[in-house]
Amino acid sequence: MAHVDRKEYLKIFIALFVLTIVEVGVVEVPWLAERKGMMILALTVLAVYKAFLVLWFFMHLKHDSKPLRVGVIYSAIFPVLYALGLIAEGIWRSGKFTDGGP
Amino acid sequence: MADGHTHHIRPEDWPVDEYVDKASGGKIGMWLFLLSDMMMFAGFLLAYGIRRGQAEVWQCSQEAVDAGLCLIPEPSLGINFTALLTFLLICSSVSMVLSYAAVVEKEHKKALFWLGLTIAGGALFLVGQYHEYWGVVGGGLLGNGLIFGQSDYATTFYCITAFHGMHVFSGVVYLCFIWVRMKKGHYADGDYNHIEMVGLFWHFVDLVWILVFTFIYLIPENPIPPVP
Repeated sequence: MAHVDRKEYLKIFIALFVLTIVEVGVVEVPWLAERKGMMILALTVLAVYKAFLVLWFFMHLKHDSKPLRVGVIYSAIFPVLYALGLIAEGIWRSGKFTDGGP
Repeated sequence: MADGHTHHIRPEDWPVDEYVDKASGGKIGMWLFLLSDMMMFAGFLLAYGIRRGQAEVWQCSQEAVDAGLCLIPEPSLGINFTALLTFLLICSSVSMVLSYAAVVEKEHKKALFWLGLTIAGGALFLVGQYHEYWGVVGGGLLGNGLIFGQSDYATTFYCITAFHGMHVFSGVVYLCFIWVRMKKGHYADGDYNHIEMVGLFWHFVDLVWILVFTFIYLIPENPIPPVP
């Protein structure tokens, strides 16, 4: 039988709703507004977790075979690694926080 | 494994494959397409991240103009309205998965109802995007001076949100096709393969918006030092 658990779907819906409100709230926290790096980290963690909830429960990755899960998750991780490296390098080269050169 | 042979057999009645279990060819194909589509969005978001990371000033606000950091003032993005759009897409994702559940359990009328709600959610989102750009009630971003090509802020905003909007539009069209097929009774025997495929696309559209909302709308501007 294909996996259908309506209670689980509703729980995930509530989680996504609450996390969206938390995200909008995070932007208003004065302590975080002064520490932009921390705010970006907090927002990223929340967004990635929400994305994971959609992937795992709504897209049924939870019930799929390991090779399919691995293929999707690993493919999703690579752009994140590129982002971390390339954005950091771009910021360094712009000279905003360093002299930006050798 | 031509699709014609497996068309009316529910996926759980197929033999188990050692790699993909009982996932159909269509489902694997949709996942592969979504992974390549994800790379497209990743490219856009990466370009946005690099350009924004390098910029002293991102949005040319009135404060930035007064401080002499840039010339042409640009409007801020509406977070609260977009949060509503985010919630709308989340709701349509839920209705999509409920339609899938109804097809699996052979509840034909419920499946049609939830799929119809999903289409309505997507269409409303498009109306919301139109309002954001052009303004259904009041001015929109374009009318308030956010012009494509004028700055990195404007160009990356329109590239990413319009590319996503095209996905919502094509998703709504795709969902309508499936709704018509469902109305004609194609999935009444509980063959949920096509519903699962369109569901994957629709959830992907929601997932991308979750990320776009966070990175494009929520990350605040650097504070502008007060003019001495």
